[in-house]
Amino acid sequence: MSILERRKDIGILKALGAETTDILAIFIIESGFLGLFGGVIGLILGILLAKGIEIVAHKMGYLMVNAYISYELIVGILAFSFLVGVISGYFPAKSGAKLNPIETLRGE
Amino acid sequence: MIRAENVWKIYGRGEAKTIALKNINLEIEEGEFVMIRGPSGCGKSTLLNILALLDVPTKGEVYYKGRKTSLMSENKKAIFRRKISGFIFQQFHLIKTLTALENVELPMILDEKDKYYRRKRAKKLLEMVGLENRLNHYPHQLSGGQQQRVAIARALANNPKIIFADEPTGNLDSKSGITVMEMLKELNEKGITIIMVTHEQELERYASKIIKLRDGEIIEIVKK
Repeated sequence: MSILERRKDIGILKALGAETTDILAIFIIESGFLGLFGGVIGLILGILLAKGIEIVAHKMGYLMVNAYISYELIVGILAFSFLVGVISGYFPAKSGAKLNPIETLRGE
Repeated sequence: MIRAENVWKIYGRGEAKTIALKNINLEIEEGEFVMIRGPSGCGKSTLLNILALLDVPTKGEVYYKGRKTSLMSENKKAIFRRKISGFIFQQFHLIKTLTALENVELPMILDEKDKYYRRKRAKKLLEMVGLENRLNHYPHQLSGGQQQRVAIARALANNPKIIFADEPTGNLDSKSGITVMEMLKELNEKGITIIMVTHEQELERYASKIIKLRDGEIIEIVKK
């Protein structure tokens, strides 16, 4: 899924009669959830890594090394990754939605 | 229905200036089957895009039902593209990540039709173009001719009054091309205005009006 392909999709949507707000909504929701999905995967990997280090450290006798994962941190990470997704979808979608459909479709 | 008045399209400026359309004047009546024909690079696609409100002229005006389209807002133009016209491209331009059924539903989603209605209508349209066994196929699983038939079904989704077609047979073998032309002819007989671009002289027999273009200028308009 390249940027050019997405631009072409914006052109198709415009040619079919999508309004600027439709295009923004489609791409922001999509990229927001992509960001959130990335956040969830990152979170799982991060927790596993932290817990793994904790277990290894405990086995080596470093009982003071404990992975601390707060709910605030989890919520914060998910919200942040969603936001990054939304922002990274908003700007290209907005610049694409402003062009006339033919200019966007030419990007093949 | 659609009238172009002194339409010019000029790309670039100064030395790099290219004139794609030169002082185009034409009128298209409801129910016509118009063919814009000329060699490649003569500006025929540019003219079609301008008439379909996908592009804007550099100078001049396009009227739809007597109204200046240059005064239409972007949203009004979107409504025109969605409800009044349907566009068929040479390269089909289906959304690759959607199935045939979903591609046909798309204009109806944009028009906020309810789910039950649009499913039913999309199925009916795909049946009409002979693809009832391909509803859940993705574009890459379909032949060129089948993809173009999906595109025709999509163009018909919101009951358009006008179909714009840019070389709709250009990427098809001759048999699929004839199927597509016969479909357009049938739609025209049902009262839909067809405006089509082609470089193939033999397709002229389908048209009720032929606009011949060369180097961005109309050289002849033939009414049959």
